[in-house]
Amino acid sequence: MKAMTIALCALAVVGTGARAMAQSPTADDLQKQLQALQKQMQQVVQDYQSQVKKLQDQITALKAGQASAGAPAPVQGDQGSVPPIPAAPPSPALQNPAISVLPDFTYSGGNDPYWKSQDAFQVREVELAFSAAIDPFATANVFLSLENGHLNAEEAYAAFPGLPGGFSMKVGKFYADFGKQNSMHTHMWFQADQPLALRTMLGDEGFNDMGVSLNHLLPTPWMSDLTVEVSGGRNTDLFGGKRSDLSYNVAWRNFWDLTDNANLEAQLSLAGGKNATGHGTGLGNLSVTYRFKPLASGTRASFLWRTEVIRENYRAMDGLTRSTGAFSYVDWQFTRGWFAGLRADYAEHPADPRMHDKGGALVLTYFPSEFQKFRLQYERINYAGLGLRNAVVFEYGFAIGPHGAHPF
Amino acid sequence: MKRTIMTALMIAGTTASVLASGKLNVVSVYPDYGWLASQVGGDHVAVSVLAKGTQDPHFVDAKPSFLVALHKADLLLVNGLQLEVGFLPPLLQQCGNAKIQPGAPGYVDLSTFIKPIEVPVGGVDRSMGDIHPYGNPHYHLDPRNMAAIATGLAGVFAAADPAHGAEYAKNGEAVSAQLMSLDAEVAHDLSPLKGAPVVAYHATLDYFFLHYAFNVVGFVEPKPGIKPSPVSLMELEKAMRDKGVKLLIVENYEDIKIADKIAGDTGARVAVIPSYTGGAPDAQTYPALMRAIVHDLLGASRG
Repeated sequence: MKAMTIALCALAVVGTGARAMAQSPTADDLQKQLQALQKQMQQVVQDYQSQVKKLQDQITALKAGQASAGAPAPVQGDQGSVPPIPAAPPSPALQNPAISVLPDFTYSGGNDPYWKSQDAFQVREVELAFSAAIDPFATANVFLSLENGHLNAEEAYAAFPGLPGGFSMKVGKFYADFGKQNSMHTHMWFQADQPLALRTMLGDEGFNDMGVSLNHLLPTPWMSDLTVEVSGGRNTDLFGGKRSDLSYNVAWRNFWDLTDNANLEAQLSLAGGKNATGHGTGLGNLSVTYRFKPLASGTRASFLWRTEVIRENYRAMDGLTRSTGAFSYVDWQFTRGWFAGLRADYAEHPADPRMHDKGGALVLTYFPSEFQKFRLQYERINYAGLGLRNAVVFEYGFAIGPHGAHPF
Repeated sequence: MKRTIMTALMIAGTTASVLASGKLNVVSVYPDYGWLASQVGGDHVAVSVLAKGTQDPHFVDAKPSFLVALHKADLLLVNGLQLEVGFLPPLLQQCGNAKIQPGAPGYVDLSTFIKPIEVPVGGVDRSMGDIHPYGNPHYHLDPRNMAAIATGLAGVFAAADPAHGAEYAKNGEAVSAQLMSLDAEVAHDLSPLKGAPVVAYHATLDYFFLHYAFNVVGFVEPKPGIKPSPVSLMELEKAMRDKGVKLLIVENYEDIKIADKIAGDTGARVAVIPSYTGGAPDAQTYPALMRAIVHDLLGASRG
C-alpha cells in the first residue's frame, strides 16, 4: 500500500514535470512545485504512520484484555478501589425467551395412601418455564410440566397488561384465580404437597383450564380488584359437560397494609359450570392471608398465616351434594433461609360428605439460596374408612435460569 | 445526552393524557428517586414511592397495594440494572396501565442517565452469587449520578408536561448544583478516611467507595447475596487482620450480629448505616442520608 502511494506520487511528479517543461517554467517555479510535492509526500507518510500506530495500540489493548480475563483486575474509580467481579463466558441466548428449569424430587415413607401411590424416590416434576414479550402489547408465559414421562402444558398464556379502560387480560391455559393456593406451582408450595381439601375437591391438577381472564382494579379506598374468568369447562373433576358448556369464575380480592410490616389479604371466589351429569357444579372459596415481615430484617424473619374454606355444590340426577373442605397453615421464618411450618387439613368427600378426612403436617424447610430448597415433612391424616396414616417426606428442588418473580 | 433526548421525545407522546389530570403522577420504586422527582417536579408532580428506605432493595414484596399507585401513574421511575427483577414484573402485568409498561414512554429507567460500574465481562451465572449482569445497580450513593438523573428527569418531565418545561429545567439545574455542592461537602468531610481499608457487607456502597477513595478489602457476603459461612468468615477475618482493616460497614437492614462478631474477633469497629433515603430518622431526604452516612462512618472510625 505504502509502495503504491509512493509510485503514484512519483507518476504525479513526472506528469507535473512534463507539463511544466511544455510551458517553459522558471527554475523558481520548479523549486516551489518540488517543495509542495515533498510536503504532500510527508503528509501521506505521517497519516500512514499514525494509522499503523492506532492499529498497534488496539492489538495491544485486545491482548491485554485476553490476558486479564482469567484474573480480573480490581475495579478502579476516581480514587478508591473495590474487589473485582469475576467474568464468565458470553451467553448466546440474548434473543431467546427466558428459560428456566425447576425439578422437584421427593422421597416418602410411611403408610399414607397418597404417598404410597407414588414411588418412594421420584422425580415428581420437572417444570420448564418460558417467558418473553410477544410484542409491545403482550407477554407470553409457558409452563410445561414433565411428570411420569408425560409432558403437559401446566399453563400457557399471553398476558395483556395494559388494555384500554385499565383492564388487564390473560388468554390461554392457566390456573383459575380460585383462592390463593390453587394457582401456586409445585415449587412455590409451603408444604411438600397440596392441602387435602384441594386434592380431594379440585383434583390433583387443581382448577386449571383453557380460557380468558379479565381483571380490573375497583375504585375503593383500599386495594381491591375483580377478576372474571371464562373457561372451557373441561376440568373433569369439577365440570366436564357438553363441548359447548363453559365454566365461570369470579374473584374479588382485597388487600390492606396494616402497618409497614404487616398486611392482610382476603379473597372471595365463586365458580360454576356444568358437570359430567349435565347438571351444575357450584364452587366457593374464601381465602384469608396475614403476613408479617419486619422490613428492617426482611431476609431473616417473616410469618405467614393462610386459611381457605372451599364449598362445593355438585348436582347430579340423584340430587344435590354439598361438601366442605378447609385448610389453615402457618409458615414462620426464624432465621435467614430457615422456615418452620404447620398445616391443619379437613376435607369432606364430594361423593359422600358424611365421610371426611382430617389431619395435618409439620414442615421444616431450608433455602441455602433463593434457588434451591431442602424440606422435611411429617404428615398424619385420619382417613374416613382407613384410619390414621402417617408419612415422612423429604423434598429437594432447585431452579436454574432466570425464573422471574411470582405474584404476591 | 442522546439517550436523554430520545427518552424526552418518546415521552412527548403522553402529553395529552398528563394535561388532562393536572399533575404528573410519578411513581418511583425507591425513595431516593422519589425525593429527586419532588425536587425537580415541584408542585406540578404528585410523587408516590413503593419501597421503604429501611428495607433491603433486593427483596421488596410485590404487594397488591402497590397496584393502586401504578394503575394511575403517568411515569414510573425504575432503578433498572435488574434491581427490581424480583418484584416489579408481576406488578406491571397486573396494574392495567399501558403507559408504564417496559418499552412504553412512561417507563423511565434511571440507569440510562448514569454510567454503571462493575459490568461483568462476557456474562454471569449464579455460581458467582446474585450478580447483576448489567452492572452494579446501587448507583444512587454517588451524588454526581443523582445530579445527572436530576438533569435527565427535568427533560423527562418537560417532555411529558411541556407547559411547565422551563420550570422543570430550572429546578433540574438547581438540584443538580445542590447535589454537586453536596458531593464536595461529603468529599471534604470524608477526607480523614481517604484510602482507608474497609470491609462492607454487600456491594451496596461501591459507587460511594470508589468515588470517595475507600479501599474495600472484602465483603461479609462471600459472593453477592450469599450468606457467609464459617470458612468464608475466617478468610475474611484473616484478610482484615493482614490489611489492618479497622472499619466494617453494614447497611442497617443486614445482619448486624454477624458484623458484631467479626468486629469482636478482629478489633474493627462497625458502622451501621442507612443506605436509602428514609432509612433512618436522620436520613429523610437524600442530602440528609449522605450526611448521616458520613456522620456514622466518621463516628465509627473515631470509636
